[in-house]
Amino acid sequence: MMRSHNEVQGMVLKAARGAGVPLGHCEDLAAAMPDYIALGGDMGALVVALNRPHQPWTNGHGCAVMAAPTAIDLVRADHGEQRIKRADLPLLVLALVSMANRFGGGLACDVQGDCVAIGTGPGVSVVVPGGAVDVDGLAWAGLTKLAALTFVPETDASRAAGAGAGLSDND
Amino acid sequence: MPDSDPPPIPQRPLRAPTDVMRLRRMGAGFPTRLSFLRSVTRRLGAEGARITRPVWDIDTDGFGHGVYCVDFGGYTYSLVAVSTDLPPEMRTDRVIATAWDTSYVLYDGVPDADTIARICRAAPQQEAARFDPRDLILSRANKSVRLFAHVVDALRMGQQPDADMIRDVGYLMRTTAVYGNGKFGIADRRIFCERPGMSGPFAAEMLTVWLIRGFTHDLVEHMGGAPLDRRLKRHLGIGNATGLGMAPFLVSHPLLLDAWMQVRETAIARVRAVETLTPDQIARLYALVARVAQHLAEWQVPDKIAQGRIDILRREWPEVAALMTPEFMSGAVPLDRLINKSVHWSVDTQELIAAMVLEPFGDLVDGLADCMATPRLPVLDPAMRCADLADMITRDWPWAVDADYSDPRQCAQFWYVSEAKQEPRLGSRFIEDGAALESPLDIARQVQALARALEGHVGPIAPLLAAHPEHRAAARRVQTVANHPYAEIRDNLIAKGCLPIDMLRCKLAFFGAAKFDPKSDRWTRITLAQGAPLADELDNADDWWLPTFAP
Repeated sequence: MMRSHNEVQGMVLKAARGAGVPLGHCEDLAAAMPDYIALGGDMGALVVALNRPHQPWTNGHGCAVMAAPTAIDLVRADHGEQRIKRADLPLLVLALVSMANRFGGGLACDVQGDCVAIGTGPGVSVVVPGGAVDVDGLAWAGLTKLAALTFVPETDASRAAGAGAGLSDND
Repeated sequence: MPDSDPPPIPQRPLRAPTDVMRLRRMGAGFPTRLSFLRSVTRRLGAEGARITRPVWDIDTDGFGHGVYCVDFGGYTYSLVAVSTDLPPEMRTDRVIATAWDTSYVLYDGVPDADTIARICRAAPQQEAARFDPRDLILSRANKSVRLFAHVVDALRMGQQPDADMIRDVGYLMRTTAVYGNGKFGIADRRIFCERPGMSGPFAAEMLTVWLIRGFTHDLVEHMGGAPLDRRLKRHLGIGNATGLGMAPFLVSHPLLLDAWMQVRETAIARVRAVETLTPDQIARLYALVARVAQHLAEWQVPDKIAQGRIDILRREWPEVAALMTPEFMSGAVPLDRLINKSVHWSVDTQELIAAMVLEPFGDLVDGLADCMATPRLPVLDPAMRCADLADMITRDWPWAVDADYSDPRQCAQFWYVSEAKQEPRLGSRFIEDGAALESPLDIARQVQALARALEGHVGPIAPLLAAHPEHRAAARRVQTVANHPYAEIRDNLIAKGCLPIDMLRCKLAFFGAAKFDPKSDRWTRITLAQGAPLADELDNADDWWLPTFAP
C-alpha cells in the first residue's frame, strides 16, 4: 500500500519504541527513513532487525539500529573510523549516515558486504524523492504490531478520563 | 558599488525564555497578527485571490457535496465538502467518533468528476479510508446543532437569526480534526511547503478551515433559501474542539516551537523599541483598547476557572486603559514602558497587552512570519565535552534537575497512547494502569537522569552515549535548548499541577484561535476565523484581531 513519508516515519518511530530501542536512536531511525527508502531499503528487513535485542553497541555485533548512530557519534567526536562488522542492515547504516550528512556533513561510508566503515571524508547523501512510498503489507503489519506494544489497553476508567468524555456534543 | 544591507530593525531584548516558556504563561496566549490563519488571509488578500464554487450538488435538506476553488500563489487548490445525514446519537467531537456531519478534503488542483466521486466516498470515512498524495488536507466538522437549526429556521421564515445567539455561539460548525502532513496517505507537507503562500506553519490547514467556514455559510443560506446578513455572517467563524492529541506536538517539535516563540518575541521586542508613536498609531491603539474591552465583555464561558481569569481581565483592562493617557503614549518608548508596567497585572493581561501592541506595526513585524517554519531537525553534537553539557543543564534546566521525581506530586501523571484509535491521554500514575508504557513526555525527568549520568565523566559525550544510549534523546534536547532557548516548555509535564489545557491554548493561539472555552483541563472549544473576511471581502483582509460583535 502507498504510504506517505511522514506516515512511515511516524510508524517506524513508534515501532522502534515498541521494540525497546532507546528514544534517541528511535528519533534518528525515523529521521533516516526517507534516505532508507530512497536507497531501496527493505522494510521487511527493518522489521526483522527491530525484533532483535537492542544492546549498546560495543563493536561486537552489527545491529544497525544501535550501531550506526553510535558509530557516527564516535567518528564526529574524533574517535577515528568506526567499523560495523556483520551489520544486519548495511543499507540502514548508509541511510543513517546520509541523514546525518543532510544535517551536518562530512561523513564517508564504505559498504563492503556486511561490513560498513564510517569515517570522515566527502559526505555521502542520497536525494530524497517526494511522493508516496509503496510499503509491503506484511512489513507494515510487523511495524504496527511493534508499535502496538506502546499502546495502553483501554479501560472504562481511562475512557471516562479521556478528553471530552461525558459531555454532550449535540449542542 | 554593491548594494548595502538595510540597517537592522531596532529591538529591545527578547523576553526571557525562563518566563515565556512557563506553562501558565503559554496557557495565557492570545492570537496575534502573526497567527497562522491571519497570515493566510493576509496573503489571500494581498494576492487578490478569487474563490469560485464550480460544483454545488446539495439537496434541500443540506446533504450532498460542493467544490470551492481558490487560486493562491500560482496554484489552484480545491476544497471538496461533503455533507451527510448524521443521527444525533453518533455526534461526538471526540477523536473516537466514526461519523460526522460534514467532511472535507483540500485537493491540489481542480478535481475532475472521478476525483470528486472518490473524495465523496472516502472523506466521510476519515481515518478508516486511504487518501491520495494530491489530497493535501483531510478534515471533518459537526454542526452546532442549536445554532445551525435556528439559523436555517429563521432564514426559512424570511427573518435573520437572533444576533445574541450568533454572538454567544459564534460558529455553525466545529471541526474535530484537521489532518495534514501525510496522514492516511495524503500529501507530505514537504511536497507543497515551498510554494508561495503555503510555506508557513499549518498554512494549508488554515486555508482549509477558512474555506470550510465559507461552506457552512453557504449551506445554511441554501437550506434557508435566503441570504444571511453580512454582518452576522462575518461573525460566524468555525468552531473547533481540541483535545490532548495536540499537546505532544509542542514537545515533539522543539525547533518549530522555538521558531514560533522567537518570532513572536522578536516582534514584541521590535515594537518595544519604537521611540515615539505617531498620532495615527496612538489612535489605532486606543481603538484596539476599546475593542479588547468589548471582546472581553462578549467572552463568557461555563468553566469556573477560565471565567475567573476572564473576570480578572475585565477588572484589569480599565486600569490598562487608564494608564495609556495621551501623555503616556506621547512619551519616549511608550510600548516598552507599557509592557514593563504590565507586570503588575495578571499573566493573562500581560499577554493580551503583548498581543495588542503588535497590531499597528505590520510593517515592523509581518515579515517575521516567514521565519515561523523550519525544515531543520535537532542535531546531536557528540563531540561536546561532558562538562560543557553539564554546564548547559545547570544553566538552562534548574527547574528540571532540582525536582524530586520520587515525590508523588512530581510524577503524578503519565502520558500514554490509548489502544483505542491511538488517542493520546493523560493518566494518574498511582491510580491507573499503564505507566510502564508511558510516552516520553517526561522531559524534565529525562534531563535529570542525564545530569546524574554525566557526573564524574570527562571528555566527549559520544562514549558515554555509546554505553548509555538511553540518554541520547535528553542530550540532544539539552543541546537544542542552548541554541534555541524557546524550544522547550520549562515545566514538568508529569507533575500533578501540569494542565494540558495550557499547551493546547498556546498552540491554538498561534493558529489564530480566540474565545477559548475550556471544557476541562484537557480539552477546549475555540473559534477560528470569527470576524475574518468573507470570500468577497479579501480586499479588507487584515483588521480582525480579537473579533467583536459590533452593533
